[in-house]
Amino acid sequence: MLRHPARDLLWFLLAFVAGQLGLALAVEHALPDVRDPEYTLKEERLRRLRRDKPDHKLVVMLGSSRGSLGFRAALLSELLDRDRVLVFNAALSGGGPVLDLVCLRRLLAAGLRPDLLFIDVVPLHFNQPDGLALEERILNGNRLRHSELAAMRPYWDEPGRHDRQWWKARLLPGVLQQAELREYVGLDELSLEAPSDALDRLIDSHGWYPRYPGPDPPRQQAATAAALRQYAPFATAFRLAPRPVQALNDLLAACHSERIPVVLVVMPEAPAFRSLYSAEVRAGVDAFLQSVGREWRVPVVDARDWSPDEEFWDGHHLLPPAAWKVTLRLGGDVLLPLLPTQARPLGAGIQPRPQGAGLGRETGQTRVTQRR
Amino acid sequence: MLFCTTQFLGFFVVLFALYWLLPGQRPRVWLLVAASFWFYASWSRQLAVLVGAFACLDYLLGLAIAASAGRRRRGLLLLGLGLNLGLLGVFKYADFFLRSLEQALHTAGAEASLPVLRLIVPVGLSFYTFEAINYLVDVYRGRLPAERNLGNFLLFILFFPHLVAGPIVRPRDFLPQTRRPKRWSWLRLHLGLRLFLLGLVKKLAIADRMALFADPVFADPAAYSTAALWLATLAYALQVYGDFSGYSDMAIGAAHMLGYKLAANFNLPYLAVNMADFWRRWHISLSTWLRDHVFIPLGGSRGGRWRTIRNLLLTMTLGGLWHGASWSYVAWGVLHGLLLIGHRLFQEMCDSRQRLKTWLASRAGTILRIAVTFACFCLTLVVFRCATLAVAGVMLGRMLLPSAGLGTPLHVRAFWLTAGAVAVGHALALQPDWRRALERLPAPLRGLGYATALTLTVVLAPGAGKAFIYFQF
Repeated sequence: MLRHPARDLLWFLLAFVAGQLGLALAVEHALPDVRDPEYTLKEERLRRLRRDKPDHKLVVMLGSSRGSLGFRAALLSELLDRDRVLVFNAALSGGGPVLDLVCLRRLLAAGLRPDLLFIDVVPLHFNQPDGLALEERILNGNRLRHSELAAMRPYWDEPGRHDRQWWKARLLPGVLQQAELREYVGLDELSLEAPSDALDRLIDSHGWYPRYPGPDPPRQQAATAAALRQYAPFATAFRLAPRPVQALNDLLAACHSERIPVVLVVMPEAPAFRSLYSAEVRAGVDAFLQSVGREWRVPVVDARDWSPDEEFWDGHHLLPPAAWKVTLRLGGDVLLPLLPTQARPLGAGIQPRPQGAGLGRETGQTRVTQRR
Repeated sequence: MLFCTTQFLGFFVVLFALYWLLPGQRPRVWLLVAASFWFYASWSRQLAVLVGAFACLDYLLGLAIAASAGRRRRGLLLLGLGLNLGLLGVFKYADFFLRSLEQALHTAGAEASLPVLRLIVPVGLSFYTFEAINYLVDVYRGRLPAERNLGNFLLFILFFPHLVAGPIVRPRDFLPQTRRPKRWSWLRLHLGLRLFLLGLVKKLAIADRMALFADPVFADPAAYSTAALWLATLAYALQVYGDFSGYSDMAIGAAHMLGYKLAANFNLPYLAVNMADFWRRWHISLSTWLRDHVFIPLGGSRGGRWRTIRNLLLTMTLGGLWHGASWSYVAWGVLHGLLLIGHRLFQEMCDSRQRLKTWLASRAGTILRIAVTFACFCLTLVVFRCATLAVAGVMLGRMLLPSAGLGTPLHVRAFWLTAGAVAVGHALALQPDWRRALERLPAPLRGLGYATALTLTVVLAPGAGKAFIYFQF
């Protein structure tokens, strides 16, 4: 019989708390693939490519899942290898201007400085009729390190929300990051004969993440209906979202100070999705994007009408064959003219905003600046 | 409210604190009754009222039976049995019998359209009606005095740890406990927590993970290869064991923490050497109930071979039907009846073959018997789990004849790791001194072991929590 059962229970409690604390510290500092598996995997892929091609000019796409699924960077890398250009897709699920800023800082800290940046912008990220902005609702604070969380606080209307998510995930990592921990240990590996949703198998060598299977009309219909329901509240009335606008401006300022040329890309949206926008919202976000382009002197590529309905899984995420077409068009129409020649460096077609010019941050108004 | 949810954790922590702060046994009994009612009402308030009402009715019937004699006494017993079986029959079996009758009439060429009741089966119905029947019969036979205290009786029926999925509690074991004052005991808390943790491991880390292997295959067995079908069957065997014995462990552990002792419900059933041994180790509370209230009243194994065979078949068929209103469950019960009969006949044959009997008792023979018993049980699980008998037939056919098809839905490494862990657990449990060895470890090491088990369990639990299998019975 146990002599000191109370002592046993105390040790159990202490060991459990210590274990969770240890796991939390590990997740925060030593296990980035548990904390933010998608970014960590992409960074690993990019490092490997950079090691093999250290002298190539690096073109990186940042952005959301639209960019992540819609931009087949490997295709362009192959085509432009002779021009010594390496293209990589670093767009992340749930991404927006805030996560783009985090991602850029992470890449720079890792010594992976892009020579040209494509930023996939989702127009509805910059419309906030009421409640929280879209990216603030979607992003889970547990993906960020504590220092990043603190740095991103000015961009949230409710910074406490992401703080709470972070604290919960760090206090109970075994519960709230169990899927990532299991993936890390490899216990959920799928059979070769069944579709795999393990990130490692889905994300290709250049960061393209074709999450959805091929055409499946009934599931596509259901997914489209769900997406329209999700985005409809952001597409009826227009109010420029001040904090996402601030984040985008700060992102562009960071690129400017790093002398990284930028191209803003609005990825394709199905006609059904585009029909969500009220005239007011369409005019408002279009005007905003144009003003950003003028202010920062960056090209804004509007690819929204590049693909028909059936080329999307859910109205705004491209299926693989459509991603191939869109990538080729982006490469030919946008990237090729910016390619380095003997006379000019990569991205020389983009003239950065002059030093000291205003940033046009007035809430609810878009500043119209001269186009290049 | 499932045992493995944060909602239950919150409920239990508050209840535990209030319970042990209350002075005296009477307030504690009523607190548990109220908590149990609230626990049941988390599924359905209306059904909680129904269960409470029937429990009160059984209480009054028990008193009436004890106060009566002769034909009146017998009549009251029959009334009680009728009410309880009627409740079970209406909610659980009415639609099944009506559908089957309609089908039979159609087959016979008659036009018939019978009503469909579509009643929601109260959770745990099969368990507490059997407990109530047990009580009324015991009072009738004079084995047990009628419980005069309503609170004690309600606690016997409604006690939340065993209310929804057993173990089926005997009134002779439980009612005396309601009268005994409970004293705080760290040892009992330790034991209860340890059992609860074991149950959690079995449910989350074993059962729910094995469901990931089993569910896709059983949903469409015609698409899968022979190997995948066998693996899914083995996975389901681990799932149903982990789920049910895990729930029982959690129920017994929770009861312990509140000062109540419930009987063990499982005893390493996959180490059974024959089907009779299996039913002494699997769902012990149900098998003993069926033995005492069906098999023995029918005559048991007195009255010759054919009567014994009849009694076994009837008992196990009813046991199958208890699990659910479907021909698959009936067939499963019949199969187990046949396996038990087969075992008896084989035993009789071995009695006259001493060398065979000696070899079967050896280590190699014992391993063979365990393997055969397990394989037989697994094959019956196909009938139990498949949606219909026709689908079970397809699956069994593809298992017994080599068939091509899809591989396992998940990597087999996860399956073999889990099966290995279960095997190691069984091997440890077989060692007679494992408990003493555990107690001799330093307390920090034991604490670390429990904490590691809990952390691993939580990490391994699949994202979407699955309800306990036996809640549907």
